[in-house]
Amino acid sequence: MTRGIPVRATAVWTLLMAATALTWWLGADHAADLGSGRTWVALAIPVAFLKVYLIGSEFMEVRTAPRALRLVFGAWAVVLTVALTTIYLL
Amino acid sequence: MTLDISADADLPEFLGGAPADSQRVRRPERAAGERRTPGEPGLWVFILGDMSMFGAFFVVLLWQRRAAPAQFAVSAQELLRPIGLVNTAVLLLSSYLVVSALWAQRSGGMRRATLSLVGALACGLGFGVLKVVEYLHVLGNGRAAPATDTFYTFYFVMTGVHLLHVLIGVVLLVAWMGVLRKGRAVTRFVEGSAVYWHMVDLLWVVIFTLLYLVCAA
Repeated sequence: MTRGIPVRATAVWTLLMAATALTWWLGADHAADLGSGRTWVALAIPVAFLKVYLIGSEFMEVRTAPRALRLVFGAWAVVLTVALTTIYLL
Repeated sequence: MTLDISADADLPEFLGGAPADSQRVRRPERAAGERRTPGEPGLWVFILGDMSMFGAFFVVLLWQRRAAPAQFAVSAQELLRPIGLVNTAVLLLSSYLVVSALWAQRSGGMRRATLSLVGALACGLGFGVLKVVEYLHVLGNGRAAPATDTFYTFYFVMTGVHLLHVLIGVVLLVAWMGVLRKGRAVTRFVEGSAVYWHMVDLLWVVIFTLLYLVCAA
C-alpha cells in the first residue's frame, strides 16, 4: 500500500482552490465595493489563467516536458490572458 | 473458426491487446533534468488543437459581449452561479484525484490508484448531473432562448462541447481502471488519459470565469 500523499500536487491543489475562492469573491458583487469594479473583474481573467498554467505545468507534467511543449503551452496561456483582458477592458 | 484476440498485439492495451513493452513508461525516478512528454506525443497535437479551438471561442465571446454588455449581464445572471462554483471545485478535486491515482500507480499502489480513480469518476459524473440541473433551470425559466440570445448561444455551445469532453474523459478513466485491474504498470495510454482529464478541468476554469463571472459583471 502506498503511503503518504503527493505533497507538491497537494500544495498546488490548495492554491488552485484558494484562487477559485478569490475569483468568486471578486466576481460576487464585492468588486464594486473595491473601487473600480471593472478593473477587479478584469483581474479574474489573469487569475484564471494562472490556475490554467498551474494545472498544465504541475498536473499535466508540462513542467518536465521538452522545451517546445512548454513554450507552446505557455504561449497559449499568455496570448489568451492578454487578448481576453484587453478585449474586456477596451 | 475460433478467433483468439486475447493477446492481439494490434489492439490497444485497454481493449485487451498485449501490453507492448515499448508502451511501458519508465518510473518517475529519472535522471535530474531529463525531459519527457507525458502520454503519446501525438495526443498533444490534439490537446493543443482543442485548447486553441476553445481559445477562439473565448475571444469571440468577449468580443461579442462588447456590443451588448448589459444584455450579456442580464442573461448571465440567470445562470445558477453556485452550481458553476461547485462544479469548478468538483473538477479541481477530480484532477487532484487523477494526479493521486497516477502517483500511486507509479509507486505500485494499485488499490490506492483504483480508489482515487473511483473518486475522480464520481466527480466527473457529479459534474454532468449538476450541468443537466442547470440546463433544466435555464431552459425552464423561459428567459433563455439559445437561438436569439447571443449569450445563451455561447453558453450552450461552449458548455455542451465541454460536457462532451467530460463524457470522453469518463470513458478514458474507466478504460484506465481496466488497466489497473490487470495490475499493469503506467502506460502511455494511462498518462494520456490523465492529461486529457486535466485539459477538461483547465478548460472549465476559463469557461467558468468568463461565462459566470466576467459576463455577469
